[in-house]
Amino acid sequence: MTPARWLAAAALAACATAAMAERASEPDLKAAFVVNLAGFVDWPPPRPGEPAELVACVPAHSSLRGPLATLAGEPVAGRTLRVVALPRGGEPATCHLLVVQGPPPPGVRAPLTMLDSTELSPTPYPVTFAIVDQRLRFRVNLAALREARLAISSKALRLAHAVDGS
Amino acid sequence: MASRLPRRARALVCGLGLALGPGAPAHADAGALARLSLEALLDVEVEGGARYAQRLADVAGLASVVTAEDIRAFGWRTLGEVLRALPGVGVTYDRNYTYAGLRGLSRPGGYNDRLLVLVDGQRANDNVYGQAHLGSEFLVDTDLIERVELVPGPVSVVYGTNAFSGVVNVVTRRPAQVAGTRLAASYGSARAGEASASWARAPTADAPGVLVQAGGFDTRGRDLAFPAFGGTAHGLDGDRGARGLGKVEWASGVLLLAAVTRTKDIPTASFGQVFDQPGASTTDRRLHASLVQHWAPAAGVDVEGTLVYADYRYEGRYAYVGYRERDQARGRWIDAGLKALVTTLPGHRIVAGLDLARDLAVDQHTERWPSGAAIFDDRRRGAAVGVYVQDEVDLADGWRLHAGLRRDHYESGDATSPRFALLWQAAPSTTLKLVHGTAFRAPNAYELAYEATGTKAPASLDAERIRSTEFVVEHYPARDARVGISLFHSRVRGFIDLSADPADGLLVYVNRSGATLRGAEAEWMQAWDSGLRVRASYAYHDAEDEDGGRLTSAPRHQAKLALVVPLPLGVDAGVEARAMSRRRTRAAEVPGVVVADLTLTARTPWPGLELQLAVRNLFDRRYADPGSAEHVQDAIAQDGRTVRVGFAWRFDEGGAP
Repeated sequence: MTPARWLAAAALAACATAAMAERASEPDLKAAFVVNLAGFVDWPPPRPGEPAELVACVPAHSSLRGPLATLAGEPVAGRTLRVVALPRGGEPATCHLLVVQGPPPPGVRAPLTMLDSTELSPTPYPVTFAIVDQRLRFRVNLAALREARLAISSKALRLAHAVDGS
Repeated sequence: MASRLPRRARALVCGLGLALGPGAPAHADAGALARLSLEALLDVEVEGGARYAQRLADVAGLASVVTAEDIRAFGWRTLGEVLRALPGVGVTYDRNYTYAGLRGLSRPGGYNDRLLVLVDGQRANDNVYGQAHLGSEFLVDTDLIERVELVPGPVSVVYGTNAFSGVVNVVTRRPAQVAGTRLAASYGSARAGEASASWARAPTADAPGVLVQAGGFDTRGRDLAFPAFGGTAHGLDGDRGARGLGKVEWASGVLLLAAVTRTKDIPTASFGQVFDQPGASTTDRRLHASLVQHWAPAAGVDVEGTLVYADYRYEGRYAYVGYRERDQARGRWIDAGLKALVTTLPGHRIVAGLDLARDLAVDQHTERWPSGAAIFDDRRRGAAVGVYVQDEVDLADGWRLHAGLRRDHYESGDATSPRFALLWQAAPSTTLKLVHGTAFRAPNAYELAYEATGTKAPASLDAERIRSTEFVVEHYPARDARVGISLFHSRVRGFIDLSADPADGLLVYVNRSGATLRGAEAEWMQAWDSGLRVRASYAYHDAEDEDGGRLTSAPRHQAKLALVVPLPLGVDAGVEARAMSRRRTRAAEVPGVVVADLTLTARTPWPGLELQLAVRNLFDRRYADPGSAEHVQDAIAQDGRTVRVGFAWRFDEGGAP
């Protein structure tokens, strides 16, 4: 546990209301961002017989795993969010969305891979996000998105810090 | 986006949040954030350093918090061990029960009923003795504690009775935090063995989060020499029991079930028993079921409904010359609460609530054995109701006012508990607070009813009351550092204490005149990037009884240091040292002492397996805690060095994280 996390945990959790959400821990904020942005993506409709789920995969050791897990069950883009920790003991995981802090685990592929980075320089991943000046910023790689056969709404693009590959 | 988490999260944490002041500023969790628009999300500031602290800084008082990480690093196994690491908290053990004294209010013949303990924000003191259980008889295994929050000082403004010298909120872990299977066991000195198993599943789209745990402990105990009896109590220090906990969390609520049974042998021959005679013990059994549900009927209005069912059974077996005595108590009760947090008025955060408590049983019974003759039997039922309202008002220039009022009606009287706090953020990293509050403790069923040989029930007994003024400075000198200083002055009126009635010589509980408590407490917490963490505190307490009678066995000075030092090879060293000055006893005093503990926790190459070595009283210091009126011993010797080794193995975390 980093010092900041420790002190964060040591600080009293507050009776927050939605309107009071001005500050947040980095993992909480990033997890909320990942789920929020996924709502701006045009996902192909589920195949017949396939559950209406959006499967978000996250490495078990990732700091985003806990906060993401608390969001499981949220509706996202007309589907229900499911969160899967990787690896799954050899079992292959079908992920719609993968959040990584480095190269994705071998054998795991997801249409929408998001890189949780420490800086905002261009990357080959569809979405890269980082904390800059204590705020979350993201950039979108349209070429990578096209390759994954996904589209993202123009509203999200307007809010992006930068858009590559257009 | 509909919220899955925040209401539940508030349900869990708002217990003390409210005690501290409803408007502790916003710290949004992922669930709350998920409801925001993308634009709003991009405007959320990431917490760094002082901002975390801000939330502690907004508490009306000087709050201390212990996390699961601390509990792990220091190997704490009871709530008493957790509390004694905190500023100014004196914890004593009479080899039967564990007692905590705050702000100089140590145990004057009491039953830990001046400290209110909450589990996930719900009252856990029983309805017979008003007792807070802090030893191995506490409801929750420390492995399942996410956080312990302590607010010293009177907090009846939110919680009513028992919140006299402070409130402790024990927040249990959530299924998502302990997902998977975990096995833990330890063995140590005095043939102390303990084992537990837990399983948890994080919430998913269609299923709630679930956590179950069960465990048992058995300490055979050592033979203990008691000079006051000129002999040794052989094999009479056993401590054994079992605990279970289940928790189900869904989008807007949580159900908690916890149960414990604990039997402690009594080696001290308390209450005039025969020394070194087997068969003396107390058994405490407790069941606690709480249901918390949240609604948001309108924007800016959050409503929490709670329902608690609790069952407490106590049985004491006492060994006398030629006969035994069986002392029993049974308490069953229902607590129901409704509270609303309203933030629709700009600059105001208003909390209003209603608490109802209804006894289903408050039975006390003492009989001789083998004759079966009852020497005391009392059955009563009661009910209590409390209403409260608090407003936190933003004034200009960093000033804030907390104003609250609570009115309680209970079986034997009424109480009104106001509290006012003025907070001034003098600088971005410095907050000053002036807090004036009151609290009361209604007499418990034991004090009202107990009649046996040499004692009688009082004709009338009022609540004892405390009024306190406190000045607090909180400063954040660095990113991960916090320094807090509190100066307080309290007046107690109508202290409930045992006294001999001059008319008949019988012992009876009466309201004594009062006392004055003064003190200062300071705490420094800091963490470094290397993983090193420190918590250091000093407390000065001065308690004066107006009757000239003995009020307290609390030490005047307490200093504490707790360090977590990361060592190579994935080992964390938890080092604790506690120093206290001499303490008064009934006849004399016990000298000051410094006790140090060392806990080494090591990760192993096997994923999820952790080993721990815990040494208590590392330098084998001999010391004793003051005895109470029921003891022949003026002071009761505490353990010398003990060693415990244990492991915790978490596996099967796959599937839902």
